Amino acid sequence: MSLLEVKNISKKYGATIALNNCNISINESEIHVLIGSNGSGKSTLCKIISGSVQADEGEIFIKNKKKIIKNPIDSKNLGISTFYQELSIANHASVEDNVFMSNLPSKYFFLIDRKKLRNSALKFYNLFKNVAGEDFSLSTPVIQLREDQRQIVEIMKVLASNTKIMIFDEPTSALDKSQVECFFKILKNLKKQGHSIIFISHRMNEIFEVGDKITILRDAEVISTNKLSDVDQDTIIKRMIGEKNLILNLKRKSNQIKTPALTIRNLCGKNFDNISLEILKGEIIGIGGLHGQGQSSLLRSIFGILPKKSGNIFIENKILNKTSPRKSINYGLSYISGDRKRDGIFPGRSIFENIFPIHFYKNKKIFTNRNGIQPLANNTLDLLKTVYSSINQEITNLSGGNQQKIIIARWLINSPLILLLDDPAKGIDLSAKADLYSLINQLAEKGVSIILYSSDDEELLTYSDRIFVFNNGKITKLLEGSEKNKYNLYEASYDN
Amino acid sequence: MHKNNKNISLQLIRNFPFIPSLIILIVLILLNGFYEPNSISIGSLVGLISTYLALMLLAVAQTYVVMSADIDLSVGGVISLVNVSIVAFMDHFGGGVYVVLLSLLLGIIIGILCGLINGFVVAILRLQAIVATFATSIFFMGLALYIMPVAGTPASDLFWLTYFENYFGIPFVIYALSFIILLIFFLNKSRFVKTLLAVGDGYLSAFQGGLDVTKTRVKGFLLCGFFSAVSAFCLTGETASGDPLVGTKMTLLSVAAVVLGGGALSGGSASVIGSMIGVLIIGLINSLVFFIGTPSEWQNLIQGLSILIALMIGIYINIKAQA
Amino acid sequence: MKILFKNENLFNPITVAITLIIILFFLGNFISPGFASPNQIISLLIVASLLGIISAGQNLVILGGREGIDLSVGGVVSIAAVVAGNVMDGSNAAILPAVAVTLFVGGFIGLINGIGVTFIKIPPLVMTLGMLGVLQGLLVVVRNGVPSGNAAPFLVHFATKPLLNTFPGILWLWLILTLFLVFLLKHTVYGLRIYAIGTNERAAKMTAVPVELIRVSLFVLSGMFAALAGICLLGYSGSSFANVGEQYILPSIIAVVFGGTSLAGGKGGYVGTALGAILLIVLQSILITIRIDESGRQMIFGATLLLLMIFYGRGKMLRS
Repeated sequence: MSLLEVKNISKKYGATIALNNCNISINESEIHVLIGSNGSGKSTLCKIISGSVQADEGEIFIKNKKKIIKNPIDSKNLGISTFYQELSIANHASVEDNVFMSNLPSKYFFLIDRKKLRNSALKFYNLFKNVAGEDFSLSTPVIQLREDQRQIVEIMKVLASNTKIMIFDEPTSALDKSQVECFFKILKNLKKQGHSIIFISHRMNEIFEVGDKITILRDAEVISTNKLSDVDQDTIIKRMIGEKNLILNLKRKSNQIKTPALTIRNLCGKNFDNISLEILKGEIIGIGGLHGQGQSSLLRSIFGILPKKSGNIFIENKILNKTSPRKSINYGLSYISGDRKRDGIFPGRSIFENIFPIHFYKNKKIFTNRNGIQPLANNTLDLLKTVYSSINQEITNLSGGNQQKIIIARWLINSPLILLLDDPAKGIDLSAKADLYSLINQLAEKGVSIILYSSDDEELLTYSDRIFVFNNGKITKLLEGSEKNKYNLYEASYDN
Repeated sequence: MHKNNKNISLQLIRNFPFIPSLIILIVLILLNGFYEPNSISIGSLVGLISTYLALMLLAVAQTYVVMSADIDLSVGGVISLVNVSIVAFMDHFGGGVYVVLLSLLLGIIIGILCGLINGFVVAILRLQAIVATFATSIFFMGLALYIMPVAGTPASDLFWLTYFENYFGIPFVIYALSFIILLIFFLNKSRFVKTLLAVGDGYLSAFQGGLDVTKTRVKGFLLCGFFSAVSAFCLTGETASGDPLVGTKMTLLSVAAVVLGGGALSGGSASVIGSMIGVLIIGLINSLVFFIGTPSEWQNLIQGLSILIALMIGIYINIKAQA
Repeated sequence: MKILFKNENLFNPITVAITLIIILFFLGNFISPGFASPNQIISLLIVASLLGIISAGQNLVILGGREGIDLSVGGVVSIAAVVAGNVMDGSNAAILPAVAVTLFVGGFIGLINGIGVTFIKIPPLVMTLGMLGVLQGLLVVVRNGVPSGNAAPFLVHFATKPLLNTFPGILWLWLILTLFLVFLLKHTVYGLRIYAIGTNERAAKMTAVPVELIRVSLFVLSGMFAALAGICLLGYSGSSFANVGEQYILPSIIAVVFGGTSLAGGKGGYVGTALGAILLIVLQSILITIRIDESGRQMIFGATLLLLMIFYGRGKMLRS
């Protein structure tokens, strides 16, 4: 019988549809895997079930009774606990305190029963004792732990709640092999005891090892639910991709001059290791793979937002020693991030203010000369087919796609030589994407060199000349010519 | 990946953010002893504590809101209000034992009510803590002025005599301090304070982890109101009279003490012990400035500078330790 | 109701402030006829201008974000009044050097604040609070033994009497400052960069904005504005007396909030703040005209402030 059933759930964030009419049903004693490419709606679905996000429409049933979940406390009371991808732990509190934070054992009404807490926590600590690595004890504040150890704490937290339903949203992303094995043993045990588990992972072998059923999501919709024994890796990947698996090639006038614009030699930094690549003038290089394998960090290090540990960056033939955004801008580099909220927009400010900072810097302006430079902005924005009523409009009143176009225009106004695109089309609608990429193509034709990282594999395959596949901070494969198809890309990305 | 810091001293500071202030405190005690050997006697220590007990309690009160990343600029107003309320109460009903005890109960209730108002405007109405609690402090001070328009009504003799009395050769303030430290000790081991700190560490992750963020923050303000009231009792014992403006100067000092004690205004990491040490640092700086024979007109400046430097050193070390 | 709140023109802080000021003037005139007479309005504006000039600096620091706030303005105002009074000491000829010295002192104090906040990374609230303590101590030193200086006659005239048969000079000064700040914030690259670091420091860094330099400069400006207000205060009251500035600390923040500048930074401007300062002063003086005790006045004042704050934006809900 189904323990948890989600019916017709939809959720929108502004113009972006995160979930569209999703149905899913989880049985008792079942490990139910959710899979889908980035942004397909897995995390949103989990957050709706756990109460930290409110759905716009739809219903949740537990044991066939309709329940309303307004916040995480409701969800916990209904027997649901969640491993959050971004972790829900308090940095200054110790491991054991975190594990039982929402349900600390007490004595004399209000005191924490330390003995009981220690004993209960020890049970979960012992599960991971042998794999957690050094400096991991129950009294350590989690701020001192490594990423994998912090994930283990979040896992312990879910286990300690001992609820009938447990949701794990990418619990293994930082864990090593032995830690994952240990975790899976626990999961299988829980299943035997009758718990229902929702499990999200990007690693194919993990899914087949523990999963009973698999639900595949694509573009905010549920595509299919199957027993894992009825499907194979091939089918899953094909369903995640959609039916087509064409060899996608760029129809762009080849205008590549065979001189390198940017050369990277043995670059090491945060989250990536020993990366070497070379970009020719007018070339679009794709860097692909699963999300968070070091692609973004590489681009940030080149631009000088993150420090590099070692290795060299050459622009044409000049070596770029100490990197900083100012220096990079002087050298003609541009960095466009898809995380426009974090790295791009000045929220609540006008389009004018959002579009001109680079122009002001490069031309050493003191006064803004609003009327004088307005045509410049209008031209660039028209090139991107941006929809806006006036340049004094607040940027936050535009749709996500148009906001992103303004950020892109910011970097194009002063004709850059090298574009670093860090998932530039994240969360924008299809027509905006098309406008964006047609412009990128035009720029490449004019001789601008582009490094493109995209979480949308189709974009990557369509627009880049060559694709370097990243896995765990290293380049594992170079796809060129006819190799450049989705199947190869997925295989290289999901292989661990 | 393996970047666990092996540096033991830094690790200690990370676990106990008040350690730098403890070191500053010890240095100050030694300096005081060097310039004025008598200052290390029990008597002068008791004197120091009784002078600063009220501020210590106020810093404790402030700590409980800072833990959850809030701030309360109305604590001075609350002190004034409780001070004049209990003095007026005792004055009106005569200073018998039961009246004094009832006045204490009244004071506590007033303190908690003030905390409730602050909690309501900050956590439930979601107004900016700095400006909202400033507005409530104006309100509280108005109320204090209403109850007692001019300073000078004496507190019941019983009240302040008890405060200065010795029992079994030990001054009353020591009993009071011990009782309060015991209370704080138990609070520190309570579920509530843990939750408060976890909420201060990040509202969103606490919310996702199933904690009731709003309720917890309100409770922090209630506790702050309670300790502000107790602080007002000590102040009343010390001054033996009612004064509607008595708390005005103390609000900002309480914030400084929390920071001196290693508390982070961004929440999640503040310790009550640290804040009490912070007050003692302020007190010892004041006495040291006196002992080294600073000309009287320079004393305030040297005190202010020393406190600023102590603040900078403490924060600098803590930032280094967290990095 | 919701639609009303969404209508930005109707609930724009500037409109709200102007409406409230007008209502308060009518109310004041109703309670005590003559409250809204031209002379009365001008004397209210003079008081408001002092607060307004302090709030200008406060406004800039808050706009720069990262929990920017300047509690030391109170101390700077007091120090500035003493310094200016002693340097000019009643002589018109010494006004210019006095102004120069005082502004330098204010700027220097701001510089130390800015360095502490930006490079040692002390939270602004703590840094400026500590600085306030230092300044209060300094005030004792400066005043002790030295006869506290007097304002030059011209300065007194400037701050209280009409200039060339128009408004008092201090109001002209305030008007010019307002225009200057509006121009600075709207039409200079520096101004736009203040908003940039206030709304998104990361993005600002990526677009080559010298974040540290700008943040330090904001504190310097705040010190200089407070010093300017101190000079004006000296003219207004004729001589400097102890700790005159302290009463301005939190009102200067409230004026900024009432002007629609968010304490989170990056949103708002100076016109609103100037109106906020006027609103605050009118509210205060209306309470003085009502024949009730100081206590009642304070209670109504506190409650009104809270009520108004609800208008000016509340925090976000945690649940999305």
